[in-house]
Amino acid sequence: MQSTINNFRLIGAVILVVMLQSFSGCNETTPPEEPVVKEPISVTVNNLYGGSELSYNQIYKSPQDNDLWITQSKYYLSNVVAVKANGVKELIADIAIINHTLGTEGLTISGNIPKGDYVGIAFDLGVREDLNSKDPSTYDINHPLSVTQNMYWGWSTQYIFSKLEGFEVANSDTSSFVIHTGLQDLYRPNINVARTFRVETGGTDVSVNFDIFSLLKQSDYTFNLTVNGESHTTDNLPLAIQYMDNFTNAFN
Amino acid sequence: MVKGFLGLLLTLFLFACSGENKKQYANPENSNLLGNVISSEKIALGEKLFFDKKLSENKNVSCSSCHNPEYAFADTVAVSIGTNGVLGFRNSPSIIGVNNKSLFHTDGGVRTLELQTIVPIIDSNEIGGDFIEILHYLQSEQEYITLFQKAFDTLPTLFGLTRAISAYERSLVHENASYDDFINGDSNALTQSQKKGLALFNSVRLNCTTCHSGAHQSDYSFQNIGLEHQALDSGRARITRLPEDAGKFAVPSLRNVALTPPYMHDGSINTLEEVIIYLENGGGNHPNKSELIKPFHLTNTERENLIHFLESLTSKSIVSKN
Repeated sequence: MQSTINNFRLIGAVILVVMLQSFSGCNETTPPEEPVVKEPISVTVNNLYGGSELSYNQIYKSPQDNDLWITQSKYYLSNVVAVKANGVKELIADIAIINHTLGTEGLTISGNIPKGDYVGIAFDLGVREDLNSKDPSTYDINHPLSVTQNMYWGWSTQYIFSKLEGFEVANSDTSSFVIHTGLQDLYRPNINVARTFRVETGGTDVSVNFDIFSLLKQSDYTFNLTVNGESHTTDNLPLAIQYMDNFTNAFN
Repeated sequence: MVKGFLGLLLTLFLFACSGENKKQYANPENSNLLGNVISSEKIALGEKLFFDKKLSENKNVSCSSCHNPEYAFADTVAVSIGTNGVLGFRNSPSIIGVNNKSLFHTDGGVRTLELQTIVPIIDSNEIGGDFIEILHYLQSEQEYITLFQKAFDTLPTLFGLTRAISAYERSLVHENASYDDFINGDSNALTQSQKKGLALFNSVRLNCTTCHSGAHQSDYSFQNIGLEHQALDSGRARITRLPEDAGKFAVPSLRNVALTPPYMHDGSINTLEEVIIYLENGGGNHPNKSELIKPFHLTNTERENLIHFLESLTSKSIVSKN
């Protein structure tokens, strides 16, 4: 008898808990919000050299008017967003790798954002801190952060933010340049590119330009790659810092 | 029946709180959060990968080329030669007992052993493998397909590769050194010379145990013992970028130390005797040299005793243990 009473008490307690739960915060009781319709957007980053489309092994002129050619251009962008006139930002991609080697596929960032009018694209240069500490072997091989992208420094267990490699001929001597930048304090946030566009049903394409000549030659610092053209960041930190500073101004 | 009713109510209760917003989305890091649980299947797979030269760019080196079981999973050269015939960066350390470490590489730049397994594969001066090619290779070999299936219940993946190799490395433990037998109560396990060497090792005069402490004879701290040519390798400062860390390197375990010459991060000192003499002289003149490194004097006999003690740290067997 006592056992039966105890069982009923227990049942009563459980029913009470269930009822309280139903009144106090289970999300099913919250009225559903109007779903936001998102449409696809593709942001293409046009890699340029002096205003012309970048092509590997094409001879260009360096800021010192020497022959120069690029053999690798690869970099990460984090927090890629579309910006509305009121400053609201809609996330397109957490992380993207711009890999010129892969052609169009390597230059396009895809996502879905709400319909509407936008005034710009913004992003950070590099891999943001929470992603920079991830294990690259845990990602699918096509993911931007996969170890297969060859953008990982094992020695510091962090990602390489940017690689620029090539050759320059000065006074008949050909020398290589290699600039690999990384480390969290070289992360450059909030690069804004003004673009007016409307996202509508069916998707939208937007493009931004990145010009390597503009990276090499800025009003306050011009790279001379034959004199100072090698940095793996820690071995030539001043060059790496200057490179990232110039990089932020090379988008338009 | 009452219990059944209670179960139903509890199920309803739990279900009531499992709305869409609580859904656990797939996250590549989840597997990390679970940790790399070691299993005999992972170890078996990791062992095969560890010795497989086909992972390297030129199919000529494997992990075991620089971490040779015959030499306590180290090698006998100052700096190893990688797949392209180019010298690596630092002396290969023994990896026995690596499970006890929390930071990897002599500069401590690598946070987990699982991440460390990536390093030599990336480095063209070491294994220099291409991860896409490696994956295709693993997925084309029936033996690997079977081993991955057993270890991870999946086809070969790069994630599995890193977890399996590190599982194998974590399983490598030193066993049955004479020193261990002595510590465990066998007073005859050490010779008289080794006992005198142990006393010297533990003495305030030599101050070895300030850093070479614990079961593995290392506190794994970063210390500068004054090697002047460390200017070529900034050591811990490469990671921290603090000037005061220049020339600091992780204190190595002394387990199996007699099997792993040459010594120091760059393999610049050939024998244990030379290491001891270097320390007797108070190390080199690096400006960041630790205050712990002070000159001391040993007689020839004492030096021999100390070396004999260090030899007693050699494992009689090196085993892979789950």
